[in-house]
Amino acid sequence: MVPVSYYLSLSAVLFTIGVVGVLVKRNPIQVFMCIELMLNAANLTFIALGRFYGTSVGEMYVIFALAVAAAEVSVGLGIIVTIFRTRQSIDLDETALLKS
Amino acid sequence: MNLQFAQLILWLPLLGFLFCSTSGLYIKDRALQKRLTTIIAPGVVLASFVIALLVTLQFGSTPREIIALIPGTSIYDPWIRFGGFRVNFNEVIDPLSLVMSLVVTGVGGLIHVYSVGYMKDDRDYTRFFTYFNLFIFMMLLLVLGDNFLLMFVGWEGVGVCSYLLISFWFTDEANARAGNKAFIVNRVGDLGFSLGIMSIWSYFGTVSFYTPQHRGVLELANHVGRVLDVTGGVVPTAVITMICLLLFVGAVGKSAQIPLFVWLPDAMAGPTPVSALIHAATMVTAGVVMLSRCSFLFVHSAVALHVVAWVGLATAFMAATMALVQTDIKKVLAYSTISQLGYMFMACGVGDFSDGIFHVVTHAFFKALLFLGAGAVIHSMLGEQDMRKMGGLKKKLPATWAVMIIATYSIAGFPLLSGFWSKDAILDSASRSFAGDGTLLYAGGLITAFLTAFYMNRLMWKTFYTQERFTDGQLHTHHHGDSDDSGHGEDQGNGHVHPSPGTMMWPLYILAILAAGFGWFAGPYGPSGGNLLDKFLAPSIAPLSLGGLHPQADLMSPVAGYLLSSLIAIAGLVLAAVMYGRRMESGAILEPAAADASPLVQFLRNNWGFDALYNLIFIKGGGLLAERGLMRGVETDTINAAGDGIAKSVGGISHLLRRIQTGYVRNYALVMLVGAVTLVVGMLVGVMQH
Repeated sequence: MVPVSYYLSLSAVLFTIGVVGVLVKRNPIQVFMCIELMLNAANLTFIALGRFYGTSVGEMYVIFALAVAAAEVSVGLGIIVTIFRTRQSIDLDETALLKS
Repeated sequence: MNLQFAQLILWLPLLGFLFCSTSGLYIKDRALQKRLTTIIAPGVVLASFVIALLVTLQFGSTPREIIALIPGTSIYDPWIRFGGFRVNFNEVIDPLSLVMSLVVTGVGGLIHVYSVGYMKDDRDYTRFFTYFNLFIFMMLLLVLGDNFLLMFVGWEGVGVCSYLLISFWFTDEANARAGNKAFIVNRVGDLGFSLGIMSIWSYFGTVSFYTPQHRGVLELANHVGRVLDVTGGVVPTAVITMICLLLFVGAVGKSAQIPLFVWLPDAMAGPTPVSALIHAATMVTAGVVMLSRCSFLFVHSAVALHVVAWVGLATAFMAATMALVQTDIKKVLAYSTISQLGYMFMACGVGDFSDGIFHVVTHAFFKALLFLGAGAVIHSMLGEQDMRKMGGLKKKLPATWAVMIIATYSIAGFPLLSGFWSKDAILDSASRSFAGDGTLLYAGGLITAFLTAFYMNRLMWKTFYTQERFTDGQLHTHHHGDSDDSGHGEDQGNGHVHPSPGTMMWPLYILAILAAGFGWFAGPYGPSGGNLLDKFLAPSIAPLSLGGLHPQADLMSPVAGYLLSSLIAIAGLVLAAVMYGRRMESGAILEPAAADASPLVQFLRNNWGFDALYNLIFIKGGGLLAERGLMRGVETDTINAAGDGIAKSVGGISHLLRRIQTGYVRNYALVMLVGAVTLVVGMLVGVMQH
């Protein structure tokens, strides 16, 4: 059986990749993917620890998280599509409209 | 004795007011509305008068319950209550309030009747009577209220009504200005009055005059040499003096004494019945009524009485000198009102409050008569008020002349007429002033009496005698024979025949009888042993001895006094007759231009410079203070600067903070990350420490 620390390490690595991606990418699609990556890293942690403690609570949370993520993705992509329609560009640095 | 129905004295005029003010809503037929107004508006006032008369008669027959309280309505009991402050809506029925109610409703009612004819062609006939009824109601509230607050309500009420009536023809800007002036000058006095009421509340613990438990202000002051408060403590004399002087400031404003008299001459702007109502029956007498009502307080303060007496004398003299040079017939009467009010104040100031009221009553008769007569003259002259352009009217208006001559001789103090008795009573009391300055007061009073006789006969000569100084056709009565009803509305004399001249003339006849005979009736040689009014008023008026003051000995015997004042009055009348009779005979019809230009005449005509002084101090000075001081100094440089400063510093700080908002999502995400990391590290540190 794979020790739980492996899962956690993997999860940490994925999360970090996600964070760095969010911070450095200018394409919102890529930023989105990175956010998903962070989300799934957290999900992985849940499942690993759930198995480690022998409960199903972890999996339950993951199912909730997946449902919420699905909704969030649809809204997020919708926003991105709208931005593209109005501005012909989805570059994040060009949409800094609230900048003073 | 059941006096509940005495409430109607107060409420009937209010009903009339309510009818007049709302009738336009449900009576669409204007002619019908006018007819109903004609019946109801004077009707309610006269009905009030009848009730007041009945109550007075009932009162005189049962002298034991001489002061009665009537709870206004149980709904308003208490009328005002917050914290420990409690005021009931009570009316006080006592000799003073009854005498004043009779004067207000009686003379007021006659003026109402006169106005029916006078105003009949006015567009705003019903509006006029709305104000008139409200005026009567407010004045009755003032005299009947059993506490200072009710009195104050009435006090302000007559102020409002005088404003409304003086500027009744408000389309003319001068009238609107005169109304404003009356209102604003009165405000100064009202400030003093309200401060006085507050002081009374804080020192006495009550503002009622009388209470069923005998804890009213006047009852608390009814101890020889000391004044108690509600809890039984002694109120110091200095406080009484302060309260009396504050109340006096209010009286000075309402009764047009120095220095607040300037509004009264301008108050001539209203229709003539308004002048009669304001000058004779209501409004200006309010100050004297208030002083008499508070006589129990005033006798405890010799200082306050002294101030009252001398302000009264100064006003009487000064206004009389101003009246000498007026050319406008109504202005002469206005200044004479101020002068007569000065007499009343002098009477109050020497502690002879009941003779002050006596003069209020007789003055109400002859001054109402003079104004109504002057109204008749003015309107038969088609609105001409300048006496230089009148003359010889005796032939044209014999009836008006007859009533005017009675009123003139009465106010001048011609022997045995009303004004003689009341004025002489005042002069007599003044000569025995408790402070020992009786000789001065008496001399001042006599000089003023001489001036009064002079300027009143001057008015008569310029108006009624010698030859006519107007062009034919200017006189209204030429157009319809010799009918002597004259003064009606704003009719331009186009041959219009008056259907009911009687309604305007018979009030004058009644007033003429009273102006001639009332003084004898109430004076020292009247029926039932004489001094009826003094005796009747006695329970409402504090004797001087209450404050430990005593009148001095007589200067001369009463008969000598009567002779002297008769001589003075006749001398004044004769001098005027000789001067103006001769001047007009000699062809110098108008006052010579030289006399007009003399500095003394100019000085008198300019109100002794009071108007100019107030203009300089309050209008110009106030304007400068507002513009230079308050607007630039305070508003711009302080308040605006402070406001702008705050706004600017907030703006500066937010300008700095704004830089945080880059608009780049990843910056925000980075901040979130840093925050989250800090949080997690902090938690880990915490976990490790335990």
